[in-house]
Amino acid sequence: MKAILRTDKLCKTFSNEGLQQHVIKNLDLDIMEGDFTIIMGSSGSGKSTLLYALSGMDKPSMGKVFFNDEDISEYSNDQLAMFRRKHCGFVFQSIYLLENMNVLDNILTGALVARKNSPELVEKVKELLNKVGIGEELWKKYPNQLSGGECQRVGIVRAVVNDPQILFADEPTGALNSSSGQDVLDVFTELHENGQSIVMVTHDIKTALRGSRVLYFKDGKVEGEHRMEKYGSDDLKKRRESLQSFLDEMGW
Amino acid sequence: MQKVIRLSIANIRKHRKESILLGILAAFCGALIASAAASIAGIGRITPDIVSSSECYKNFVQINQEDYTDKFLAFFEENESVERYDHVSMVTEMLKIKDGSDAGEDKFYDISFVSEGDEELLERFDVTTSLSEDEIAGLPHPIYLDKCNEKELDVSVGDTLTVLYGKREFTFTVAGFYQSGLWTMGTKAVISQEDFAYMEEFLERYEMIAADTKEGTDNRALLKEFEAFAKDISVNDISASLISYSYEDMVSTNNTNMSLLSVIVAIMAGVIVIAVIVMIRFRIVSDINEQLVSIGVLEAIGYKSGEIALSYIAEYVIIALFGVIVSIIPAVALTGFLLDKAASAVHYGGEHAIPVIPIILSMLAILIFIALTALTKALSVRKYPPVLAFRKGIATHHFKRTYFPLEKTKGNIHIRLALKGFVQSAGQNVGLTVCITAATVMVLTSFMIGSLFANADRVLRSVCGHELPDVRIETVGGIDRETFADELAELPEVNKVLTTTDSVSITFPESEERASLDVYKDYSDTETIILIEGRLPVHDNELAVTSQVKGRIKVKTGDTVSVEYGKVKRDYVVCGFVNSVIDSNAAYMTEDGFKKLYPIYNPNLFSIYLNEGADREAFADLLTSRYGEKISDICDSEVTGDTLEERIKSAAEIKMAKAMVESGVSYMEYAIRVGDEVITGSTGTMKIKSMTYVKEDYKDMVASAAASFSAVSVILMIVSGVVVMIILSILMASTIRKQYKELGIMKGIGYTSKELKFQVAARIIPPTIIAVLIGTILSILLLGSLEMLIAKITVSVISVVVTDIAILLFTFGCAYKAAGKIEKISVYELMTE
Repeated sequence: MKAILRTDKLCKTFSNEGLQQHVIKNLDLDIMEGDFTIIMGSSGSGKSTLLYALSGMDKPSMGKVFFNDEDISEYSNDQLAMFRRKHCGFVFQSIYLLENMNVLDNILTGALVARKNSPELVEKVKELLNKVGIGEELWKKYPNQLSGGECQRVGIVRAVVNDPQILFADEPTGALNSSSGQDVLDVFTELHENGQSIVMVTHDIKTALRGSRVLYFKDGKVEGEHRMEKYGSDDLKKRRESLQSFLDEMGW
Repeated sequence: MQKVIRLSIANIRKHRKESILLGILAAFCGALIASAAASIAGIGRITPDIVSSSECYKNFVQINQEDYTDKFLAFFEENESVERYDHVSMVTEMLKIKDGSDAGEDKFYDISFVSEGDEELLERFDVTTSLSEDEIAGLPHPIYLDKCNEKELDVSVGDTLTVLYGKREFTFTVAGFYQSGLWTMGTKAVISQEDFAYMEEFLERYEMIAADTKEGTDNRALLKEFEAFAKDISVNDISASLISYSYEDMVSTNNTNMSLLSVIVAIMAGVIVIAVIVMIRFRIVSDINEQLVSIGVLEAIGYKSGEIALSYIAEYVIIALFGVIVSIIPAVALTGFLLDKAASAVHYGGEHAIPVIPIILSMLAILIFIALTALTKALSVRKYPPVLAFRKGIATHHFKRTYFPLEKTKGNIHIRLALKGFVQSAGQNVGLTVCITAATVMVLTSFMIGSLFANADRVLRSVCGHELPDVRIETVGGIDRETFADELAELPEVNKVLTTTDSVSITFPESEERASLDVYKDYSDTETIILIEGRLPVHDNELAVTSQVKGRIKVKTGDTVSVEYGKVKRDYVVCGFVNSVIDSNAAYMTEDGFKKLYPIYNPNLFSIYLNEGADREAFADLLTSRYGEKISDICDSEVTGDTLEERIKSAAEIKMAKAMVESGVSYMEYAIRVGDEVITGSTGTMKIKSMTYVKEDYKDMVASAAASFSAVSVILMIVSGVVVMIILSILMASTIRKQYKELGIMKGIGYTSKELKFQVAARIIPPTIIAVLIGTILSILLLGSLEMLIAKITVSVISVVVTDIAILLFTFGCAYKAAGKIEKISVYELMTE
């Protein structure tokens, strides 16, 4: 497997009224193509900061981020936007659907910025929506008419509609109830099975179990790494115990 | 109340930049409305102030010296309503003031001269600035000028002033300036009795009877009564030479002439106020919507909705107060400028106090208006109990129809998203449409007025109401006019020649109104007699008049009106109305038409239009070499010549010229025998009585007014541009704040700042297009309504289209620039909120 994302001495520092907080410190990290990478850590450990630095949502303070060996850390804001548009998909904890657009328009807003409209594209969107369980009756509904789980599934379709090389997710089930969360995770699992590279931040073990590689982040550094088989190919109980043991070791 | 003010100030601080911008809009409103109101009020005081400060007579009768008789005075002597009267003399002609600098051109100036003794009869003769008595005593030709001349002619006491009449120069030394009172034509200069006696040898002399009447007298009626009396006792027909000016007419004419600029500023101020009020209303609504959660919190912790509403009202009153305070100095300055320009339009050079009350009332009106606007919107806070406010009302819930669904996108996604944004902001669009419509009206109207007045030539062509030939010559009697006109027309420099006459005074007996008549053989050859309605006369029973005469004699096209000239009265059909500002008291007939009133009419003026690029001075020299010098110049010249024969010919020409000017001789021949030789000559080559450059003369007259109009138009265009920028800046700030989250999400999924700025700015294009179209129509209607006031302003389709496109691009550019705040939206900050 080749590294789709690589960091070289990545640093992120925040300054506030003269006080500096080093959130990521000289981080060297590879994210492999096809992996479902889970980033875990305690609150304030810098995992979300790392996700946004990797995805080009934010610029590093120092160090470099390489995407397919191309340095994106020096990109301008608009170049980063183009990078995100072409190569990345995002699923957010707060979902962030556009409140003034219906389901179809929310997805097409993401799709049409990267490519021209075509009947095939619209078909693809509809197919994806059906696949994540959003039936035709919901397509013309606005976000405030959907449940949280439905919204997040729409958010996932918006994230993957452009066939991104890498999909980032920040606590995608954080705002959902248990049942809706499982439905959303099933979608992620299916995407991974189909070869999608995913980087997800979570502090939920159930969610982390879906990954193939778990990175534990502490004090701005990767403290440890835990590899797992593809979800569903091993015994879930053993998988859980091994992950729990890793996390215990990390002091979680 | 303290906590209410504290809330207001907190809100102002929160939106500091927008509050300042709103304050600037209020300041623009204040400055424009207050200056328009104050200048209109001030203008109404100028003529009465002239009278009271100079203690001058109020009513005047003017008549050529040859038609005057002292018997006229008996009318005033015996009339009980006349309190006092006096008789004075003045000399005047088409004069030029010599430019002191080498580079400058001599300036046509409307000035008449009275002697010091007569001046003291007319008014107080209050000399405000002067040389010392000793210095004045040493001056050979002292002159006291009207105070306005100090600026208009750019002269000071002690300067020399040279007045040109033909080749003759009259050089005076400015002894002082005085505040002149009412005068019937241009300005008045006071000279010594000796200089007056000298000047009247060359210039036309008029007699003036000035009269004051008892309060309540109908001066107009009195003067008409006098005219009838004067005609009755005169042997000759004095209709053409007798003109009377009542105080009421002079006040009305002065006020009309003075208030043009102020009326334009007032109209434009009205337009800008509409835009500002709409914007303030929009701002309050947006503010309340944006702060619903804060409102909920305040209500939850015990603030009454009334107190919160009051805090909004207080907020906007504080902003408006800031605006009106800032606007005081510009309002006073603009009022001063408008009053200066107004006063100079009637040659008033005295001080004029700036009316304070209209300024204060205007400022108060703005404050009250803004407070009421804030009140009507702020009361909506009462609709939101805390829980509803926490949930941001119902506004954020979308159940509406989806417009411009993206699955049907065919072209650019950004345009599609801009259109979606456009239909989702209906309230904002209405407000924006009103604002841009107002701005378009201001820009387009100002542009049209400004571009007309930017060029004195264009102003003349549009508003003169008379023909503007390059050269006009008056011929002596006894020449064949047809042949002479043909001869002139064949000159290579000449484009065409029209024959006409000096303005002839006609009367409309039914309304007892008078007009000066222009006579042309065929009006299709004329160029600058511009119609507002109907057509120019073609048949001998047709008459056209200016729109001002139309108002006075109350006629419409197709009406029959009686016209009297001398003792002859005929009926004419009114066929059209002409645009004329310079001499608005004009009527127009064909030669055949006038011959019905005056059968022996024979035109004596030749209007010569030169070809493009022809040198006027060189052409004048050519005319002189062919047809002799102007007779007036020959009269004034000295006997010259190297040989006896040349000197005899020169002396004979001077004698013949004087005989022609003074005794009306039309043709003379002479033969003088000197030894064996006979020297002969005739007036055959002395065809030119006078020569004037009509277009240039009129240009001098309108140059100052044109510059004022042009300056005001530019100011109004700049104000419009600034207003548009401020409005869009407020609008964009509000839109971006409202859509901060959406814009952040879109940035997150890959939209660049440039694309988002384009989308947000492009949303204003549809309402802007609608506004520009409505604004264009309104501007054309407004220009049409200004037609009677200023001039018929020909609206060029190309100019309108170019201006409209410029407004569109400017608006989009401003919106795009104002949307620059999108760049500052941090996706990271949004996502980690």
